[in-house]
This record gives sequence, structure tokens and C-alpha cells, in this order.
Amino acid sequence: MMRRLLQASVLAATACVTPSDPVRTFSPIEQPEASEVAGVLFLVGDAGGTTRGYSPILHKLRQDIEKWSASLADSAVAVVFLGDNVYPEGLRDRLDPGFLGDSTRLHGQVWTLEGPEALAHNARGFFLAGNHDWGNLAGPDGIKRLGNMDSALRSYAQDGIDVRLTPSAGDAGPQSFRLGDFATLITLDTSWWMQAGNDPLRDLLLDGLGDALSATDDRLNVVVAHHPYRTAGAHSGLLGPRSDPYWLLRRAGVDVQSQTSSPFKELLAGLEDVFARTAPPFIYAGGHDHSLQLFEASQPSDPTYSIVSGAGSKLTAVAEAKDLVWASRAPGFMRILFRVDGGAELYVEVIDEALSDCERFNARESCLEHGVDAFRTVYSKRLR
Amino acid sequence: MPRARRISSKGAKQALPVRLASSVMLLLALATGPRAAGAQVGPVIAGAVLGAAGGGMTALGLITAQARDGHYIYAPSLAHWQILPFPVGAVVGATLGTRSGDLLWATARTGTLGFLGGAAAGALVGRLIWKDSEGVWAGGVIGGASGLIVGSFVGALGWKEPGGRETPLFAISIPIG
Repeated sequence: MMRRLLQASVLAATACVTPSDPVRTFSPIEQPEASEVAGVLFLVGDAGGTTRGYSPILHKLRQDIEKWSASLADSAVAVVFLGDNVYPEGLRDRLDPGFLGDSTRLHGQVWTLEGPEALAHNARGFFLAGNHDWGNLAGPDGIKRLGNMDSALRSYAQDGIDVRLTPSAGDAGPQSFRLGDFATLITLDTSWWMQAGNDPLRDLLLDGLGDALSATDDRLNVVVAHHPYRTAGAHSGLLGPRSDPYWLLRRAGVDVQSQTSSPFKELLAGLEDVFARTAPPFIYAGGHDHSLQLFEASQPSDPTYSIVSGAGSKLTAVAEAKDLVWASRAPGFMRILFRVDGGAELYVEVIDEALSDCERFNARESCLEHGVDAFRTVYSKRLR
Repeated sequence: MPRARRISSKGAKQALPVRLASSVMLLLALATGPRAAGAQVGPVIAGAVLGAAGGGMTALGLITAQARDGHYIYAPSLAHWQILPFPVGAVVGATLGTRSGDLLWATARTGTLGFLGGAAAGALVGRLIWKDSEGVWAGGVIGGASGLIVGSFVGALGWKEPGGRETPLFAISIPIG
């Protein structure tokens, strides 16, 4: 109640016009035959607010993973869950009353990789830590909370499902994973950064990232973290107060999770410095903002493409921003196809918001089925 | 890794609204008790609303000042003691409304002037001492909150009842027999 009053007073004090979502037109590209595809990388973010029983997004993701796993070589399909995999406080202890709901939400995402084709062809799931996965805690308490997720994913892995928390709990990263001959995935725990203060380990993280970017050969570098490199969503502070009740806190740099805060700005400056010293990655993908966005590089030190894919279970608006190529606040996820000839293509799959949550429908099975069928590719682009 | 800090706890989150509500009810009962029957309801409600709004602004100022000092709240929903000005403001506002509608409006008037002046001065100072673009906003919020408090105090303490009779601003009556 008190917090709502706080929001209301901020709103009343700062009312102004909200921009509409900057969805732009595009020329769709034709999806290649499976024989022309070397690998597929799915990017799904902030999916921890739903379960497989209610989410057509998870069902569609599983269907797509199955389809591509059946068509491609082993280990050619990977999914990155870009953090905030369990709302609202990460995976709590077993004795906590919230554990059952938390573990159900986590399992919904693991389940997308449990299909027969995914298991037979070793589709891989990479789970990143978001601020909610840390339980909004810091230090050892946060690491312990994240450790619960780490342990849960390890036990799924022991059952033969190729999933992992990366970087593992207590490790800020980076960790590198080879995705066939087409890409190298580099993972960071940016939620650790936000609370690390002047910890010298910050320098180690940046140095490690520089080494990881330098170490790869002609494979494309894909850096993934929960916090985005570029965003025009709520955490950018660009939205007006009518779309974002915490707008004033963000403009004043008070919200540590927003790009206007000092820790976030230090992260971006550190990344930019590393990218300038080595070579910027081909793609930097994050979640955090609950929308789908694509940015192109505006300066030599920027990643060629910066992506936000955080519409896995929640939605927030997107503002206009420089170099924003395309954006939408529709629920869904992104898919990158790496072609045998070295090309790369981006596809954005979304569903209408009204169909994205089957919790309020009585006929859940029918809702989920209908929801999966209602997905459409709303954007595609040849990245390379 | 940084030193352990408990940012939120389930128990505290659940208990806080209950404790706040209880405190507000108790303070309201104590502060307005003997006069409530004779007081107009309108100024009391208006006082509570205005006081809560002023408390909200003060809470924002506190949170902003903390953040500028490097102590962040990890999620906006996890503010704890920082939102205490909310109920305190509501109680003070309701008390002023109980005391006199004129007193309430005088306080609100000077509080608003204090807020506007403080916000402008704070924005200027914020721009000078903090070089980032958020400094102006942070200064404005902190200055606005400070100005609001000072202005409200000046308005409330400087107010005199019509006829010039001096009366204590706050009076609590406890029946003993």
C-alpha cells in the first residue's frame, strides 16, 4: 500500500506524454533450409514469471528446439536463458514455503530442453543469473540463493539434460563455450557487478572478457549477460513516468538496476573499454528489460549488434533511441540462425499479449495449443 | 566478493506493512483523540493525504541521498525504513487537519513553496557538485524534500490562530479517570 502511494505520488508529480513502442517496418527474409544451417541459438529472457502449465512461450520454444534438434547436427542447438529465471526472489531454500513455486518456474524452462529430439541431439541450455535470481541479496547470502539454482540445474544435468548455470554461483565470469564451428558464447554475471562496489575482481572480470574475446578464431563472438549493453526500455530511464512508475528514481540515478546508476555506468564503461582494446563482439545479448530490441553499432567499440530479449514472461514499454533498429513489447523470444556459409540471421517470434498467459483460461490445454499456433515471426534480419 | 548484506527478508517484508499500519492507527488515535469528535472530517483526510504525499517526497529524498552515497536499494520494492516518512507524514498531516483547516493549508502552502525552492536550488547544486546528467535530478529530489520539510515546519510553527491566541501545536490527551 505504502509503495503504491509512493508510486502514485511520483506519477502525480511527473506526469507527461509516453512514447509509443517504436516498432518499425522491415523486409522479411526467407528462412533457409535446415541443410544450410550450422546451428541455432535461442535467446529468452526474464522467463521466471511463468510456468510450463500457463506459458505458450515455453511450449513454442520447446517445439522449436525439438524441430531444430531433429534437423541439425548434435549440439547445434542452444538456448540462453538471459537471467531472472525465477521471480521474485530466485530459487529459495527447500524448507521455504516459496520453494515449490520457485522450482516449478525453473523447471518450466528446463522442460523446453527435455524433449526426445533435444535429449537425443544434446541441445544445450545456458542459464544466466539475473538480479532476481540473486534474490535481490548481496554477498554470501546472494551467492547462497544463486547456489540453489546452480544445484538444481546440476541435478537436472545428472539426469541427462544439458543445462547449467553460467557463470556458476559465486563466479562473476567470464566463461566461454564453443558452439560448433560457428560461434563462441561468452557468459558474464553482471548482477554480481552491480553489487561489487570497488572490488578488484571487477578488473579480473573485464580482463577475462578481453582474453576471451581475443582467444576466439574466426567464430563469431556472442557475449551474453542479464544486463543489456544498449536498451531503450524502462531501465534506460528514457521512458516517461506514465509508462514507468520508477522513472524519477531512474532519472536521479537511484535505481542500481538502471543504466543511469553509477554501478551500471561503470559496467558499460568497462565493457566499452574492453571492446575498444580487443574487438567488439558480434552480438551482445541481455534481458532485464521486458521487451525485444535490436540495436546496431554506433561507434567502433560497440558490438555489431546489441540485443535485448527479456519478454519471456513480463512486458514493459520501449522508448525511441538512437541506433534502435527494431523493438517491440510483445511477449516472445529471439532466434539466431548461423548458416553453414558463415552468415547469421535473426528471427523474432512473438505472440499477442492476450494469448501469452493461459492462467486465466479454464481450458488451459486448448489455450496453450492455440497460443503456440498463434506465434508469428514479426521481424527478421540478415546480420551477416 | 562484497561483504554480506541482507537486503530483504521475507519476514520483514510481510511484517512491515502491518507494523506501519498499526503505528499509523495508534498515532492517529493518540494525536487526534479528544478533538476528533469536534473536528471536520475533510481537513483531517486532506491532511492525511497531503502528509502522505509529503512523506513520499521525503522518502524519495532519503533514498536518493543514500544512493548518491553509494548505498543502493537493490530493487525499488525493497525499501524498508526509508518509507517511514509516509506514515509519519500522514499522521502529522491528519493531526494538523484535526487542529485546524487553516493551519493545514498554511503548512501546505509554505511546504509547497519550500519544495519548489528547494528543488530548484537542489538541482543547481546537484549540477555543480555532480558532473553526471543524473546529478541535476538527484539534487532536485534531495533539495525538494529538504525544502518541503523546512517549509512545512516554518508554516506550522509560524501559524497563529485567528485572534492571535497562542496554542500548542500538538496536544495529546490521555483520560486518567
